[in-house]
Amino acid sequence: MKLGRWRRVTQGTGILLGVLGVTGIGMTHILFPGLHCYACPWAVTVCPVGLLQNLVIYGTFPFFGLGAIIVYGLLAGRGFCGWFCPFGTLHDLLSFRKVRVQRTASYGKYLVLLATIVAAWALADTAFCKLCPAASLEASLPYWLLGVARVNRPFLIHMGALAAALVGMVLIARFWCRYLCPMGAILSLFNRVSLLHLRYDRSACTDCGACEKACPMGIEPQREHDDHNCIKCGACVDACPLDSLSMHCSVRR
Amino acid sequence: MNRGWVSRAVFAVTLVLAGASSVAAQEAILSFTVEPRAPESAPGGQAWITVRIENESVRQADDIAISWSGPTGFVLDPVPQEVPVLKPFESVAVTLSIRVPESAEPGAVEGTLEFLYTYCIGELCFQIPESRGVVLGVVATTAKPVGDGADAGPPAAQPPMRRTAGGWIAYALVACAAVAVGTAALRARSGKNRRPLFAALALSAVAALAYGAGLGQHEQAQGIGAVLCTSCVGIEEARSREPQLSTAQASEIKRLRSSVELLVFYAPWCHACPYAEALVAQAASLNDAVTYRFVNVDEDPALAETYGVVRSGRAVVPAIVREGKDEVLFGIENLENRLVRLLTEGE
Repeated sequence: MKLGRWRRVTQGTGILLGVLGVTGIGMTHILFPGLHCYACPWAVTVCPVGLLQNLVIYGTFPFFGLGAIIVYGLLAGRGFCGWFCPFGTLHDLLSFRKVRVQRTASYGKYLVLLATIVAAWALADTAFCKLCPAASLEASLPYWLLGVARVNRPFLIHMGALAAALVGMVLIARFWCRYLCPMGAILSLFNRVSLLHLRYDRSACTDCGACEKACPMGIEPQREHDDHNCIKCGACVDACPLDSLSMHCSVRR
Repeated sequence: MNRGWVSRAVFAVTLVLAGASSVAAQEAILSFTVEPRAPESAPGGQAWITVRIENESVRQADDIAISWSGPTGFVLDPVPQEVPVLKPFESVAVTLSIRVPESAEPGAVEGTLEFLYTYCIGELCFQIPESRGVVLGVVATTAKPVGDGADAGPPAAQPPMRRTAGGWIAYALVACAAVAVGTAALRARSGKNRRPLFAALALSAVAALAYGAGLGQHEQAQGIGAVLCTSCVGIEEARSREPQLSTAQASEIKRLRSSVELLVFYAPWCHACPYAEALVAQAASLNDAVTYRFVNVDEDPALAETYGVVRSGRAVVPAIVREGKDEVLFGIENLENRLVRLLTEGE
């Protein structure tokens, strides 16, 4: 079976875990391995970016949060962006234009991560959450529908952020994941050591360019498969006519 | 990030923490008004000053100490007591007396009133110093000296320094440096083999998880997720000004005859909650028939569930419930009107 089909299954599982609260299960101790707002009415998992901000505000060093993030990083690195994150799945659904990545701009996600933590400290508030398009979609909108939230300035800011992200992802595939996602920035630090990884067999490659055309992140998979922009989604593996690229899960590279 | 990503990652984390420490949020939350700015007294007498301390923020100020620095012989008598607590939007007036020595020459004497207080955000506490200049007029009169002329006691003791902002930052920097050295050593020894690095990271992850769980951080994570503070994810804006009931609203509350008990559900870390708490306290101060109690949803989630403050498994704060009624007022937007309506319902 093509990797893409397996990916639909795991992405569906990610969405199901994201809304598991509809069954009545309350909030658990588990951190979500992606960008999924814990303020979502049906969330049962904690958003790592939200937790880090809160602990920065409290002045507590986040041992538990960082431990969980390292575990996720070691398992799949940014593989969670490609295989699990519900906001990433939304990107896939609107992924029409797989243009080349702007390498310099792709470091923007580290700036967003830096700004998120500095703002949490300086303002003693979860400032990033107020602009997060995932929170707009998963918390603001549902709470508005439930009658808890009203149309006010913060709500409109949220809707603006969501609209900008939607326009971005329609114009550029995986726009948010490429340039802005702080969770992607954290997970990308583990891309070179994670169990889930791509392997490239130079001898089988004819440089046909099929993998580049298929890559939603706009990188050259044969050269940059360990890169911080690779979400290990496997679109290049499926696209390769000669099995030059393959997906593996092992410590050995 | 083609090579040496670990060291760059550690560098990035270090940069984040260093950046965070440089902009530590030590903002003043109290305002001090000194009246009169130019008090007068004769030699051997006392000059009286009133200091009005107002808390204009949503945070509680603790251990507010007042001291005086002026020329020799000019001392605070008696030494003022610390104001232990000043809650959000509260104010207090402290009357001080500065003793003017017998030997003082007529004229203007400059001195400074110094204030020191702390406030905390979660476990993080800041110590804020403030000062106000005072010009003391020594006037030549034949007024009888007050008191026995003995010097007042020692200057006001400084409150002990509590945890400072940089506490865990320094700790984190040391930890980052240790990880950087460790991973660099591993890379140098193992070349392209990533197993030692993987093992070291896996071990540190397990250690961090176990230590964090030991500190109860897993419960903290769940607690943060299980309560929805309306201002935290941008459902509405927190307000840092004092709530103000209009004259019409106040007179409606004053007219209430039947007794009403309100429950205010809050979380200590919620930015919007102090506004709701202050508004309810203000309403209750207008009419004895209105009583209230505050419920911390972190400590009593079951009560929140009983009173219908929980939506889809999340306790939503701030929330105000009137005992005996089903309606719940969530958030603080237009809360004055909604509260008056809730209070006057059935009158």
